[in-house]
Amino acid sequence: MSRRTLDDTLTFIARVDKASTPAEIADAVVDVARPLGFSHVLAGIIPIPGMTAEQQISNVVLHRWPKAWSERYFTKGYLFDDPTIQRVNASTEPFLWSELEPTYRNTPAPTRVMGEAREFNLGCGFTVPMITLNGQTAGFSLASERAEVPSVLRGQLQLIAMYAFARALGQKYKPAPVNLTPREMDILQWMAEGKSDWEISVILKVSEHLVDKIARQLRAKLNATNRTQTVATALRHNLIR
Amino acid sequence: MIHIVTAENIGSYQYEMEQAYRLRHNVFVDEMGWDDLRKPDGREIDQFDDGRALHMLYIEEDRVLGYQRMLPSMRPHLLTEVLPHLCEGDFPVGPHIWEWTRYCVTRQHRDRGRILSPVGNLLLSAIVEWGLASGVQKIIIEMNPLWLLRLVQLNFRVTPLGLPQQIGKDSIIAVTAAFDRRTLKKLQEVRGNVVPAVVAQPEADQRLRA
Repeated sequence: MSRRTLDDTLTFIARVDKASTPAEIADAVVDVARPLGFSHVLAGIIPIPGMTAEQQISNVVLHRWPKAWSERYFTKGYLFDDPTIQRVNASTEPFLWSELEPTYRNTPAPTRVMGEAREFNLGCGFTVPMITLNGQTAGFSLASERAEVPSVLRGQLQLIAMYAFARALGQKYKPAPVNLTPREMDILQWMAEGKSDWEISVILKVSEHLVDKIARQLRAKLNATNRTQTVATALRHNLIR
Repeated sequence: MIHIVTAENIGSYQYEMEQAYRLRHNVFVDEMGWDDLRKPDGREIDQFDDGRALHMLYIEEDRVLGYQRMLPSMRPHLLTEVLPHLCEGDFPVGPHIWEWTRYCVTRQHRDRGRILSPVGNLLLSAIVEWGLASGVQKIIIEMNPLWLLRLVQLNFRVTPLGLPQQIGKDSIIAVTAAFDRRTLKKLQEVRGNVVPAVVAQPEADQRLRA
């Protein structure tokens, strides 16, 4: 039993390693969690209090969650009343949502959030708290109308959560590819070596006006406001030889 | 900075090794409550601290602030002797696989606000630097599963050897973690410099590096 669970987990890890989009990762998660009854997954960095709905949504890295519920949840700021979020901030042990029920039974706000989630077929859930390399708190939740997690499988779900989350996080924050022309690349290299527009124009035997124009193109492409930031961003993108 | 101590140079590290054994006792027995390891003299030494063990010490102004031990997988080690039930298949064994144990950092130099502490980063970097130079590619780790995300984010390729198990009040999983240049680069990026972590090691290892 346990050996098979490990093999399933290793197969899952191999599949996630090959996945190239968050949607493929979510597919892999739902496939491996379906036998337990789960059909939805949501994972992200836990927002800090005061963040707008847009900021909260931008923290999500995996989303296979009822859309209507997500919209309602984020626009109404339910996150800050959500008892599962409170638990993720307080403890690193994975938990079933049903285990939290006694902690909020007589408090209206969390009772409403969990009650409304049930109306969107998310009555039963399992959440894995995580801590990222930067020290941020993160959560990974599986949910559906009805599911069961035998205690021996909690560890498996914890592993699945961490691999899926790490992979999705890596994809989300991978710098978007920047395509530069050969001329832009040339000028960028000289900029990285600290040459001025005039010096570059002499080296490349072109007009200073052209160098200035291309430097501005580079700023736009790399979303930078000045020369230093252009070079720093280019370094991060591995564009400097 | 990190000093590597083996049978070859342990003679010149007596004072530091004494501190290392006491640090191990402070952290694992007094703090984490691993009572099986308790020793009347306050020095935590076990059957694996033999001539084949490789110690890595983080030393600052003669004080040992961090420690970890590497054991060759070709000889008995914790996974095979003490925690075999954490490994469901064959034990990972080979000259390129070593086991990482007894990682500890003094309380004052630990992770602040849950970020990997500079001492922790240097200890991990030391494993990767040493491994890349000596042909070691993979380490066996028994750890809290919470560490898994960080290791993956640091570009270790982590493979579970079994599922997490409850041992006392701790959840623990055995994994192998393979590393390469990308791992070293990521660790350097996180600590913001490329200065080598290892500053001293036995002659034999230096010859290996040259």
